[in-house]
Amino acid sequence: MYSEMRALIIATVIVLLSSTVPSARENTDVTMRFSTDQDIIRIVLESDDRFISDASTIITHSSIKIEFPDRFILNRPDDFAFEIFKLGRLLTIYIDNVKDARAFKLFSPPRLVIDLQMDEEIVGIPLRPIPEEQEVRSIVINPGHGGYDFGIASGNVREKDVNLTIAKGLAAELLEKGEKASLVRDADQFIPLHNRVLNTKKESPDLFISIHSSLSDMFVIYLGTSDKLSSEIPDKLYALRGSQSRHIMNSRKLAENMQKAFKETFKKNVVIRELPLPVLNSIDAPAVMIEYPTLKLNTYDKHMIGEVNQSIIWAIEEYDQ
Amino acid sequence: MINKRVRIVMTITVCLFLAAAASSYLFFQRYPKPVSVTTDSEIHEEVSAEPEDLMTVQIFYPIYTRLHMVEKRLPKRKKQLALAEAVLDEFFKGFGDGKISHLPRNVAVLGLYRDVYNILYIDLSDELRSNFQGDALSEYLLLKGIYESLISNLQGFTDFKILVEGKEIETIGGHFYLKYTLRNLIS
Repeated sequence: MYSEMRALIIATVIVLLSSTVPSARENTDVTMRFSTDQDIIRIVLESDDRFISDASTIITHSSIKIEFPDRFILNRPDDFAFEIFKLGRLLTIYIDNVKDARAFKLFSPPRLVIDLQMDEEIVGIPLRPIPEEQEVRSIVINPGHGGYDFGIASGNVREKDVNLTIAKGLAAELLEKGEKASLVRDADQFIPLHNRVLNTKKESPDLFISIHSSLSDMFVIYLGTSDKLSSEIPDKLYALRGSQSRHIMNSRKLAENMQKAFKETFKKNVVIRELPLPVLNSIDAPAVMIEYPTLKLNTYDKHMIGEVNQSIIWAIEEYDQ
Repeated sequence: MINKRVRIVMTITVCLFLAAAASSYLFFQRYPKPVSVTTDSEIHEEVSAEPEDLMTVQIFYPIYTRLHMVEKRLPKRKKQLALAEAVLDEFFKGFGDGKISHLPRNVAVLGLYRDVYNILYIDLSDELRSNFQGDALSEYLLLKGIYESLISNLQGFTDFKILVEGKEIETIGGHFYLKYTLRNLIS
């Protein structure tokens, strides 16, 4: 009986050892650290030489995927800013509000470094004070689309060109009246939505006007949505951000002035709509988007464009009263 | 003596079996099942298996300035990914003669993937972007129509994300971000 028990114990130990040894050999520690410097967040992943040199990294708009050569144990800081997910050899870091991201490998000690350049708003840059009434204002005009993004096309007429013509004419007339006007794009070039927002923020405008075409035969003026500001980061992507929510009443006032001006000048229907447009919701100034009536039923010659711009200028002047 | 040896052999065999079972359990605990990916062929195979059964789906078409719900009868699908593909196909077929709805034409569903968070990734052909000719409201209703049509007919998904030709793109028509999931836009 004793020899039976001994054989049983030896066999069990051998089997258990044989099943656990490979697992212990495969696990490698990966230590994560992160630091913040102004609008840059640096993530550092440290491990042994083979692990770092064989790791592959894929960066997309919403995530960073790092595939290590083997399974690993992740030592991560408790206060890490982003959500992460670990599955087998794959580590996914979900990123939000990142303007730019780049990864590189360094050695001594071996480490993978990921630098994330954050959208200014997420790293807590304070909102600028609302300016007192002033004589010269800064107005940023955003001609929609551009480059390979034609917008709506009707025959040879393309929305991106009409938008730019209107915006240039409007900027010239505003400059003549002593205002400071600037364009988000002044040539036929593609600018991503995110860059339009960032370029506008750099100008710290007092008013923001975006120019697009409607599909319908009426003017449509858009405002940001007037939802409550969400505290959850994912919802901030579309919900009104702090920067626009405090200007929403003034944005509406400007939109209503434009509605009145377009109605009187063109005798067309003019509607005001709220939509969670990212270009409006992110702007720290009264902001509207104007859609002029469809290119398919209207000819935007010099006279027509002049009338559109005169109506906008009248609305801006009324806004000051 | 023989009985004793047989008993020892049997005991060792049982122990080996138990140890193998235990190590298998540990192994599969350490290596969870990979993210499920259903290919087109799997989807089509299932549809053709039961062609006689029909089900009703709700499709939300952008018509003028709002979404219009239409009920359609389609062959029954068992798998959620197959159902998602059928719903998207119906959606992009459009409503009426296309004059009152500005859906981009010839959009094909290239793939559907469910991730570990139960987000459905919808890989669509480039026609989604290249054939889109719309204003801000059209783009919003297009995205909202996709979301409402999927969420009304599917179960077990938390959110939806659109890819174009397998890649994340910033926007379809230059008005709304496409780099985030749809629920953030709609809710």
